[in-house]
Formats: sequence, C-alpha cells, structure tokens
Amino acid sequence: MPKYFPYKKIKYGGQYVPETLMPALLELETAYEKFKKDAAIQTRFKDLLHHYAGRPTPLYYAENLSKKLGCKIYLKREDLLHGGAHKTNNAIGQGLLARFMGKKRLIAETGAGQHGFATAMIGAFLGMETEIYMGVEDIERQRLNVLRMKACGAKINPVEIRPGIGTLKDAVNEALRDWVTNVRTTYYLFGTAAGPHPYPTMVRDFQRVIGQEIKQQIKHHAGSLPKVIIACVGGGSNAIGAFYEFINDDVGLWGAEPGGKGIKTGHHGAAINCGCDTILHGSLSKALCDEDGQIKEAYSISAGLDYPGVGPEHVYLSQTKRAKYFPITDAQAIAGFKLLSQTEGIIPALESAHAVALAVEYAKKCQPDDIVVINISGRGDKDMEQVAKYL
Amino acid sequence: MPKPILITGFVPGYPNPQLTLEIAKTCQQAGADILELSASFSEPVADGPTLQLAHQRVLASGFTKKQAFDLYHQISRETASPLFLIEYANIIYHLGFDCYYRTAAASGINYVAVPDVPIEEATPFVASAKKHGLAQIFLIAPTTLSVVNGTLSVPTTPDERVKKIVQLALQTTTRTNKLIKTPLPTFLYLVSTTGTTGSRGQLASDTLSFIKRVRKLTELPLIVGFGISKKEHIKKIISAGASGAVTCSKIVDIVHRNQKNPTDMLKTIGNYVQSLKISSLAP
Repeated sequence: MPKYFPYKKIKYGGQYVPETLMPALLELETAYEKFKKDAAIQTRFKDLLHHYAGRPTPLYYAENLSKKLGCKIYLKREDLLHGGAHKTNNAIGQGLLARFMGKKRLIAETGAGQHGFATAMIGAFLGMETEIYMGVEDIERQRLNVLRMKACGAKINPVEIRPGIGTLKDAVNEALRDWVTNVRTTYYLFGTAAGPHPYPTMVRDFQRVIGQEIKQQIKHHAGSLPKVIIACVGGGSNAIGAFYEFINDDVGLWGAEPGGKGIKTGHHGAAINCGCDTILHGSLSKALCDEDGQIKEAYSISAGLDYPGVGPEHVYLSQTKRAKYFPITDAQAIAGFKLLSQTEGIIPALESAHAVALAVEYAKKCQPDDIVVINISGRGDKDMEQVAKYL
Repeated sequence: MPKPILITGFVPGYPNPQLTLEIAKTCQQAGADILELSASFSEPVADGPTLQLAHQRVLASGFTKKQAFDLYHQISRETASPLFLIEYANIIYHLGFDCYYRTAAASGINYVAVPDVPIEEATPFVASAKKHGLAQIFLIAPTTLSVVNGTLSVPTTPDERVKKIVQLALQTTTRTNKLIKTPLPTFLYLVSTTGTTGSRGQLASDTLSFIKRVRKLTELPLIVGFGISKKEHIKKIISAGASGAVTCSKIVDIVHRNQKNPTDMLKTIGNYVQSLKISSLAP
C-alpha cells in the first residue's frame, strides 16, 4: 500500500511528526516489511491468534434479532476474543513487531481501555515494560479496564489537560510526547488505524483477519456474501478490519460514527460527517476543528469513540463513496445495547452498540432474505456502571 | 567570528496581547537578536508542560489567529526585530498555504518553523515560504543522525538525511528591508535532545557531539534549542560550532510565575535575557 490513500489531488495519510520521530517511523516501515516476509514470525503470529487469543471468533446467526428486525442478522463475535475486543489482534501483531525490532518498552494510548488492556496483556506475555496513557474522564468511566491493566502489571499514566478533563485525544498527545523523549528504546503500540504512516496500514493489516473470517464463515453459513457489513468507527480499526476483505465485492460497507447528543448540538465525534480536512496526530485526515484550525473536543457516551479524528483510509473510502458513514446518537446506541442484550443475551460494548443501532436503521429498508453482518467489536462488561441508570 | 545569535521566545497572547507586546520590547531591549513567537495550537505534541499550559490559556481566552497576526504586526513595528514564528501544521493547512504565508509576511514574520512537518511533507510549505519571502526553518534532531541505513521509503544514511534537510533549507531565505535587520538569511534549528520543549538543568550529554557532527556536514548557521536556559549552555554550544541559541520555555515560565505582577514579570525577563548575552567570545 502507498503511504497515502490518494483521492483526487488530496492526499490523506502522510507522516506529520517532529523530525525526532521520523527516523523511528522509517525504521518501523523497514522492520514491518521484514516482519511481513519472515515466515517463522508469521507462523508465531497465527499460532498466538489461534491458541492465545481464540481465533477464529464465531459468526453467529442471531435468530431472535433477525425475527425482530426482519432480515438475516449475523454477528461477528469479536467480543469473544481474549481480552474482550478486537484490539487484541493488533496488540499481538505490534507486540511481536516491537520484540522483533529489539525494543524494550511498550507505550500506548487508550480510550475505552480495551486497547490499553490488550497492550498490557501482550506486554505481560512478552515480558516488556508497559505504560498506558489514559484520559482522566476515561479512567473514571472505564474503571474495570483500568484494574485489568494494573492486574497485568502495566503502569497507568492519567492524562488531565484541565481539572477533570482528559480523553483519548489528550492521551495520544501524551503518548507522542513520551515517544519523542524515549524513542530509542520505546515502541509506540498505536491502537487504531490512524496516526502517521505506517500505522494506518499496519493496524489495518493486523485487523484484516476479521473480514477474512467473515468471508469464509458467511459463505459456509449462508452460501453467499452479505448485503452489508456494519461496524462502529472511532479511529476505525475494527471497521477497516471488517471492511477490507470486501472492498472489491458487491457488499455494502456501513460505518456508525458517534453522533453523541445529535450532530446539530455540536456534542459528537462524527469526524467523517461533520469534520474538515485536518492534520492531527501524524496524518492528514478528517477531524472536528474550528475556524482557526484548532481541534475541537469530541463527545460520545462511548469512551472508545470519543475522538475528534478518524483514520485516513475511512476518509478515502467515504470520498470514493465505497463506504458510507452515519452518525448514531447516544440514545440510539443505548437502545441498540438493550436490544441485543435482551433479544440474544449478548451484551455489546457501547462502541459496538452503535453498530447494532445502525443495523436497526438499515433493517427498516431490508428484504427478509437480506444478510446483514454486524461486527460486535467488543463486549460490554466494562460499560455496566455507565449504563446502569438506563437499565 | 561573529557574535552568537540570541533568539528569545514567548507565546503570543499570553498572558494577554498587551503584555505580549511589552515582553517583546523587553526581550529586544535586553539584547535579543530575533524574537520567537510560539503560536498556540490545541494539540502541541512537541511542547512540554510549560508551553502546553500557555497555549491552553491563550486558546481559552478566545485569542484568534487574526488577532495573533495583528499582534505580530504590532510587535514588528514597535521592536523592529526580526520575527521567527513557530506554527503547527494544521493551522497553516487550514488557512491555506498561500494565504497563511502571505499574511505572515505582511505581519512582519521572517522565519517560520513547523514542528510537526518533516522533510517528507515539506514541499507545499517551502513553496509558499519561497513565494512570499520567508525562510522555512527545518529542525534536525539527535535521532536524525541515527537513521537506519537503507530504509525502504528513503534509502538514505544519516549524513544524506542531513544533506536533504540542508538542500530544502537552502531553498528559502528571508526577505530583507531597511527597517528590520535580519542577522541570518536562514538557519537550521538543532533540537538539543530527544524530548519536548522545556528548560532543563543541564545539556544532554550528546548535545555537543551532535552539534559537531552536523557542523561538519553543512555551512548553514546552526541555532540550538530545547532546554537552553543558561549562559553556560550557550557558551558550550557555541564552542561546539553553533551560531546561536533559542530560549523560550524559561521565559514563559517567568510569565506563569509572575501573572499578578507585570512589572516584576518584565523586569525578571529583562534580567534573564541580559544574563544570556555573550559580549565577547573569550572563555
């Protein structure tokens, strides 16, 4: 893949980082190319995905939900992956790469805590010192994951930009500052398909297994490809992982963006629907910003989607009209959360509940035989305290 | 040997536009050769806590880029100092390259550095800087000299990377006029150590060897920044081959600590800047 995802004359992607980090990115590009071609390490990676993480994850025909919505709904159960979310795929891949490069220390940002926990897991497994940057608001609303990270021996660095304020965007800033300081020894295990090249490409490659499995499994179960695949999009790693295998197929690709309190209120994180072209966290993509180009704070009930930007490849897919992105409000996500929990006994993460809610919208125009795949990117245990008031 | 160049930096709009102007005048009167303006961005990833806090407060006060350009113009008129603007990439991208550099030139800016734009992304920035008579300033970091040989996208050695940076730096120089004496047509900004901006007690152990290595590769003036806050730092880097130094966080720190007493603030800044001046190069 090129360094950019070209669309007309606009180039999304790129490497907008301080010179101090450029040699590290160049080193990473080289190492990643070698890593991809190293048969022994690729075998090790596949083996870990299978025996450590539990791949393949099931593709489950949700009979009750299908009846309720009037089409055939399949759930890709990334919630059943070790760690409780798709983030484990990427953390194992990049963790092995970090070790391959001879790095001693892992750092990561996290929003919902799923990526932080996945990094803590792999850090423990590989015996590497691990530090996680997490906004104070997210530490509060995703307490369970903070404890899980600590249990695995990771150090949590709370990020607070003003009293009580700090989310995923701020955690990325602090992780970048750590990396710029400790670049010689430290591997930055970036959690989503954003950031400077080669991260968007690498994270997509590590998450691509989701779509590859869906393709095999749906052919086996249903004998045909789905009409649409639906996933939630914060930075967009689970979505690009689910979509990528189907880019050249006649399959709809729908992403659910965090619509927060509604896009008209200004309190949301819908970067593709409402953002402008922006250089943020190392790449040119779309993000929420004001007239001067200052980044606006995002809002979402879901910590994992509470980010003002989005990965550059999603912007490319949106501009070329290959994928469509829709804002889903907090209220719709809560309704989706309850619907899946109460019809199937499967409690999705609030992030994934956005995808369920978008499927509810999609199903309104569906035929009974239409096949819809929802990527359930993670499980909802971490969100129980936050949703308690809605139950 | 020419006298060392002293660049003193502060955050425009902090603690307020009027006091910024006074800080600028104080620095100029205390002997600064160039004034550095560290413009505010909501995500200043290259900055340490001192500058982060100042940026946040400036943005919270509602200080806009239009007001910032007006302030630069005023500083230029009232101090007749050459101005070195630090701006993050998105602000320039958002306004549009041509519009940004045209406005900057009209506001008295001579030099522009963009901390999150390496040579790989520099082309449109350099083109607009050239068109409007500004020097686009490039950073060289200690890690620049540790580029792994034969990387895929840029098959290069450390020396070649420095040379590429020099080539780009040579494409632009600042325009000159009779009122403002620009001591350098352009320069390279050497980042003294891996890390973010902020004053440190002492120079990193490898800073001097880093300066010497770059000195061998180019004739361009080398200005060293990040963590420079004492006369002894400056003496050492000059003896290693640098042409001058930038100090910014220490000044912003003085602003932080003297919010309530502007007179003390300006006096302390003036004394600090004077304390850095090296009048002769005798040891």
